[in-house]
Amino acid sequence: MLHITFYPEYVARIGSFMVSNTLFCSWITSILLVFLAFLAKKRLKKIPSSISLQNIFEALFEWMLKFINSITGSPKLTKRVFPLIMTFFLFIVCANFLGIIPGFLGAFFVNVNGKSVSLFRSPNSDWNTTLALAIISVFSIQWFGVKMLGFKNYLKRFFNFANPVRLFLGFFEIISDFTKVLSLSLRLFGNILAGEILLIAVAFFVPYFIPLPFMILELFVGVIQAFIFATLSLVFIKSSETEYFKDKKVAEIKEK
Amino acid sequence: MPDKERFKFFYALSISFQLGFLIAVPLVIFLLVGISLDRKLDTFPVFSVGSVIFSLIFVIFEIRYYFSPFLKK
Repeated sequence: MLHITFYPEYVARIGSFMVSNTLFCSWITSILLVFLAFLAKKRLKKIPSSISLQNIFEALFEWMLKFINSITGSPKLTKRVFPLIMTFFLFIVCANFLGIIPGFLGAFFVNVNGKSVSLFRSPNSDWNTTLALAIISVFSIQWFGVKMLGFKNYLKRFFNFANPVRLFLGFFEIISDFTKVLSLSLRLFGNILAGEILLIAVAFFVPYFIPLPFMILELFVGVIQAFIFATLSLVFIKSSETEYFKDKKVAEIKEK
Repeated sequence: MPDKERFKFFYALSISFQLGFLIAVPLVIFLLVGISLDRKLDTFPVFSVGSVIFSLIFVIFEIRYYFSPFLKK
């Protein structure tokens, strides 16, 4: 029977805390990333062999560092935001790739209250995960904004009583930050959930060979979505600074 | 793509990704406020219709605000 649900399903209980299959897979993703980082760091060499894990990580990190620097235009800001943006990218990519491993989706079931429930599910096919990521992203935008401009100056972005127009524009900014949470979370969630449903449905109707092109497509979608999430977070952080510097007073502060 | 152009490109992309929500969210917020005001004051549909008209005007200015850096060119 084809087993597709919109909501994550609970597979375990730790005290009063219910563990859903998507949360379980988030933990697997985190452990996997920590393990990979540990492996890459364990055998550090000055000149690594061409196909070593260290070389792959170095190439990826170097490319991402250059890309982030090209958007921020400031090595100082790049150094600050790089860990966050790279974590977003790696976590989302790994989480998306987990769902594409053959046999991962809809192959392992556990019995919960007499009901058969899928043990694994891609973390980003649950809105709770993507919403958490988006909230972290939007809070970090505020955090970096406050760090760059100071609390008082940053607050003027939302509540500026200099004139009625600025006060009105502040309301736009509040709405805009709220829509950032929605757009970041729903885009990732929708794309991954749709891909997962597609893979399950195709594998159910034609189990051999036909799902292969769809899996390759999902690999592509997984990377693109992670890249979009990370890049948009970066652009929002940069624009929270750039937009506000239209104000002369803050431009003066920056010059000092 | 030059570095300065790259930021502008991704900034435009980020706004286009948000565009639907930028239009829908104020409409929903103002409509909810309008409906609750109508229920409290028993004036249906004055505030409901008024909030929709106000939110439409709000959205026009909001979109203009976000797209003005690109429109100037």
